[in-house]
Amino acid sequence: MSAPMSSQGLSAIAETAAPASRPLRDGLLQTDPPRLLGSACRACSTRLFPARDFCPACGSDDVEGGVPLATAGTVYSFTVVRQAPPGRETPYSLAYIDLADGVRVMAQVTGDPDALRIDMPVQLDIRPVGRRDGCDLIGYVFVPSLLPEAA
Amino acid sequence: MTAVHIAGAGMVRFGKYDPAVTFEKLAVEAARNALRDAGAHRRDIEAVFVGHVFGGPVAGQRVATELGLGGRPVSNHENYCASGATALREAWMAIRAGLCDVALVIGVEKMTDRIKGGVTPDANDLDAQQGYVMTAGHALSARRYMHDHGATREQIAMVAVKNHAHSRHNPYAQYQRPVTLDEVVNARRIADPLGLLDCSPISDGAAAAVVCSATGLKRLGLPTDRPEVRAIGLVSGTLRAGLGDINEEDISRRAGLQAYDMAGIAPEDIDLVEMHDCFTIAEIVRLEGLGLVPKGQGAAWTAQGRTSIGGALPVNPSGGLLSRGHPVGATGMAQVCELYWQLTGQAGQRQVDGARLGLAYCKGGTVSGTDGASVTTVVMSS
Repeated sequence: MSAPMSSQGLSAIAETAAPASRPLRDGLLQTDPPRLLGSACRACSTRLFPARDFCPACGSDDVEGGVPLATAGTVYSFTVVRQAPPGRETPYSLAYIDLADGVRVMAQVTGDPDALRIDMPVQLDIRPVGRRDGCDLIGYVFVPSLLPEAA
Repeated sequence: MTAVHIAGAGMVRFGKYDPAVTFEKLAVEAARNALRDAGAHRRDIEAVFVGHVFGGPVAGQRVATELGLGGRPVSNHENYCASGATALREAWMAIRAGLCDVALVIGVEKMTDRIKGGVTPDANDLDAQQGYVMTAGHALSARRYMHDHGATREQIAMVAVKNHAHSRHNPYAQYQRPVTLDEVVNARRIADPLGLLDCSPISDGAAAAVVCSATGLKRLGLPTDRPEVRAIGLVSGTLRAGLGDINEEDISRRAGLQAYDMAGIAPEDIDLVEMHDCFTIAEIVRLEGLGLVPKGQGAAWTAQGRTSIGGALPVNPSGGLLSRGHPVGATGMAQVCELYWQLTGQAGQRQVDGARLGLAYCKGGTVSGTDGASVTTVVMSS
């Protein structure tokens, strides 16, 4: 995974071969082991995704970044999107996932849309979710825990 | 503090216009209707405030030039679907600050030639990158609302049935025919559980008002009893940490309190509401957030007719966004036009009896991790 381009000079970018893959957004996730990265407040323990350098719960600036978040969660609410602007293939399932460490994440859920239920257990999967400028964009989805795909 | 009045209002019928009917033409026609209604001439207008989202750079100046209002201060205001009301708030502040006495406010949008498949957050937004579209957000809200409060799909659909029944009598509405509960529930699915008739349409349109101080009214030769803009709340969303209720609508609660406090009123004083029903479920949870309907009872209230014209709290006598149409930047000013007509007894067959105090609510946009981007609350009295 490449370092943030913004921290490098122009010459460095030109000399660097295009990476085969990069995250959807810098600082969002890690691939080994696969984890979403958030922030944790040292004052009140509130966790947040994506990471912020302040705590919206207690207002503290004493916040740790790059914290690996729980990979297991449950569906808080879900929908099957059947119409979207051009460029997105429909249908797809979109859900709010409540992670075991108290963080809510919006993400797509794989598998049979008709099997989706509120409170059903799901598991994080880090995977390519698209391509941009010739390289894979690494993003995240959730997989129903009880389906074979999660095994 | 200087009182701010609506001297006159005007709009064009919302709908799907030919490409030859440009953004500028829509805005100019609405503005001329408002100027005529106020008996105002170009020379009376001291400043122009224009709300829009997709009009492009200096759209307000393009419109002002066509109106012969070049030279004056002209500003463009974007708060997504709250853009029109935000423009009104800027005019209201300018008048209260004593910077001008007569201002023209226009909300305008031309969507049908540039928006396909529904509106989305900005492409940089993390939720947008996951496939979030506005309909999906409201579908997630509806699913959870039904789960938490035992509301039925049919009760939520009744918002569309009610608002389409109201818009039969609104000559400015995009849709002026009733729809049945069966039609709403069985419409093409967009984002489960919401279908096509749970969604406001993609529309073109414009709405405008001439806004005045008491001095301005005198200059226009108008009586001082024109409807007054008593308060305009504006808040933005906050980051929501933890696993709270997505239908909490804290952003609506805060916007409501801001306006109630400023106007010196209580929510129960309000006679009618123009509510941002971009989706059926949105009308329900926002009414609850504003403290106008008890938590979890909005769907039942709708099904019981309590939010219909003739009910305890008429909501969207105009037909709302679902039926009047939703040219996003124009909507806030269309709500203000409706309140103006209601408060002056000019609303014809959709007139709410005893309409003396009205609230217009807009919610614009989303920002990943928050409970919304912007909410405006306009309180007007007769």
